[in-house]
Amino acid sequence: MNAPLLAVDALTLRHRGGAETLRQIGFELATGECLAVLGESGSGKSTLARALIGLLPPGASVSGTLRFAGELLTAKRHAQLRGRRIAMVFQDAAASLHPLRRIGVQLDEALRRAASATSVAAALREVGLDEAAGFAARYPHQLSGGQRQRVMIALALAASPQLLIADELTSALDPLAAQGVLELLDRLRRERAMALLFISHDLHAVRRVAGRVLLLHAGAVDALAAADAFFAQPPSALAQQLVAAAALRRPPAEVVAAPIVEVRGLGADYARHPALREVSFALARGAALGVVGASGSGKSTLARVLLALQRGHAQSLRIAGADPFALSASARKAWRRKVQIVFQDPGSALDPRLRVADCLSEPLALHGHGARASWPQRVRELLAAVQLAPELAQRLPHQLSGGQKQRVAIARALALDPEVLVCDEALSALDRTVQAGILDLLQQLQRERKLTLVFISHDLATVRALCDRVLVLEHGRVVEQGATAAVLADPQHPHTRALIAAAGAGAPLHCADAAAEARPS
Amino acid sequence: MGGERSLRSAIGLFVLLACASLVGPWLRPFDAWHSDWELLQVAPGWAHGHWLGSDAIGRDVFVRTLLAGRVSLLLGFGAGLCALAFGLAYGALAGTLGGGSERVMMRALDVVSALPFLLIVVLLLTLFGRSGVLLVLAVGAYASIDLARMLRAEAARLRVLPFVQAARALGAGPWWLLTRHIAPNLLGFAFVYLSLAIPQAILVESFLSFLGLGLDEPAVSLGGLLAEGVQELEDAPWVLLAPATFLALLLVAFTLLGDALRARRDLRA
Repeated sequence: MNAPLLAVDALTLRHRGGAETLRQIGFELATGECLAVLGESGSGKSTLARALIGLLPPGASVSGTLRFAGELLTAKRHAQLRGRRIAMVFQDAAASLHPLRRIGVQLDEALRRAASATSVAAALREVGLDEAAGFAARYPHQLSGGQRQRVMIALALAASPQLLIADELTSALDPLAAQGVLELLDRLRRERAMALLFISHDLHAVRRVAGRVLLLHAGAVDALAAADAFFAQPPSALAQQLVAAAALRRPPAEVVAAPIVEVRGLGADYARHPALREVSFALARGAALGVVGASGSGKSTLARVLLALQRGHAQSLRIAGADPFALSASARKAWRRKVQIVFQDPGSALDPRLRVADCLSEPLALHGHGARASWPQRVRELLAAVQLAPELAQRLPHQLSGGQKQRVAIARALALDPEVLVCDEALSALDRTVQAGILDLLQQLQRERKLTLVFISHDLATVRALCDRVLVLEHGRVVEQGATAAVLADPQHPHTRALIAAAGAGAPLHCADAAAEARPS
Repeated sequence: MGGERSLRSAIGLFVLLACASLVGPWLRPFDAWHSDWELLQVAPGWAHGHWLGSDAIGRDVFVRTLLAGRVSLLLGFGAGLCALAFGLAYGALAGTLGGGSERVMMRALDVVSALPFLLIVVLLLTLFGRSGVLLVLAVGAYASIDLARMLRAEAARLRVLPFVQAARALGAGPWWLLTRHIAPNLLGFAFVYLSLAIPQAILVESFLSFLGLGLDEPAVSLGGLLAEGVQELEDAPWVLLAPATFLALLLVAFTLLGDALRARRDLRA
């Protein structure tokens, strides 16, 4: 048996003056194998990736050894290998590409630097970007998220690395694009016999590509198992929790009559292009409507129009008893109490300079809600409603975790006792376990407050768990709508089928045998 | 880390210069306008007490340089704060409003910045007399144009962020968004820019004074001293070198400070 490509032994990392972020990590990675690193945010996934590529923040002290192809990695050797034999692809492709240079030029530069004989066209073809479509001549902003990730992969492959580290590569993509990228990674791994370290919090993605799974918890290895075994018999308590959270169950629906949202022939433009066309639906009080579709299908535009944050035009529009676009400014302000929104990114959902208490008092101040002296009491009630400790009221957003921030954002939306709550990808940026908690919270609020939910998501599992009805958008048009169970069980439109196929927990793509051969016993 | 060290050294240099200009003139027994007729154009030295020499009419260069530095610093800070006030109000308002009002406001700014600044300042100073307040306002207004542009862009970026959109969804109007969310979040950015705008203001003021458009005698700023120094360059180069060095150090201190502040901000972002 040959030596493993990468051997990590007792890797411990401590930030200056801080706690250990990685503790005694040890694992091996064979040529051609895919190891997935799972873990909640803050478990040290990304720190591990940075340690493996040798890009640690200054002031971090590392102990333990890294061996690459049998050779001990010193800082100097690491710098020589980085970008050549060890390459990394980051989550945010938009930030990693030069915005003002054509894709072909950037790729050409990378290929030249690597003294590679591959042509730009061949490199693009290898990552599934057809040269006939003229991708080489495009700028990054002219590509979709999935295409940008493919370009990033092509750049990383320019120097023919033996190890590719993918950090949350597919987390920001819609299921269709994510599936394409996952298939690509799996194919490249097999064709190039390249080792792949796949960091993700998405269990579906991990299931598709990984041969083995390394679960991190608080910087230490919680479990390390073959992927099949990991999902079949989760080896630790945390693994069980994660696997269980990924397979969410649908609660019994409780539908009340009298529509609270009624939309007929709604259209909206974005930058002079039609983003929504002829959207019609009705929603009963206390119901939950799931809105699904690929990225760019108009989901977020629909949310913004329902909130009257963006102009729309409709044959008829009644949201919480009024057409917001027909209201006077002061009447619309009063109307806004009834319709609220929670956004996707908890990181920017809260004003970084406002303490939680001030943030939750803001809606009260805007609408002259009771006496100022009564606000702290109301803030405590709101925090309790979203299951947060009252002590958090004095924190600033950066002192909260992603899940806590999202709960505060929900509390702020609830402050004025709205009738309709629009969640625009409100769970997508969170870990599975945190998602499950927030999902429970939303269900509870829906039951207790008779809240009507419009739940926009690209995650069909959560839509299935939460929503009675589902509406499928493609290119701004409704292609299918109906009861969630019926639509997901028996999709009529090809786009719905494609979404379900991409998102379903189908059979893993990965051939575990290839990795098993290469893995040392 | 490197950033912290360069920030500390920039602050150190700046404090040193500021203290020197505040306290320095009292260290010597000379008055800035007193002529020592016995010692005209003496070279720098310890024995006669004129540490940096004296000028053509026997005034002490050390005291005059530090005093002029004090004036330049004051004018620079005044103009910087003035630029911050104009720029923040205008840029943040345009960025918050968005749409047509934003476009009109920014085009208006383009028109103003197309006017020849120097010509206008000369005109103003001739019409209303050469006063410090007018100089501060004029230079501040000039520096505020760039600041307003940058803050407009930053405000427009903030405007589409979820927390601002959430406030809109809660019923907040433009004024509320501007004062509660956008302007406070622009301050950090504005202060970084201020560390670049102040040296610019000092330089512009020195330039005007050098051309004789600055403060009226007997008040004197670094630019005024440079103008005097050029007259005596061949006989007494120290009369030029002292204020020139002080001005250069001042600009270096601000540039380092601006870079260090920006690096700190980028690191946090």
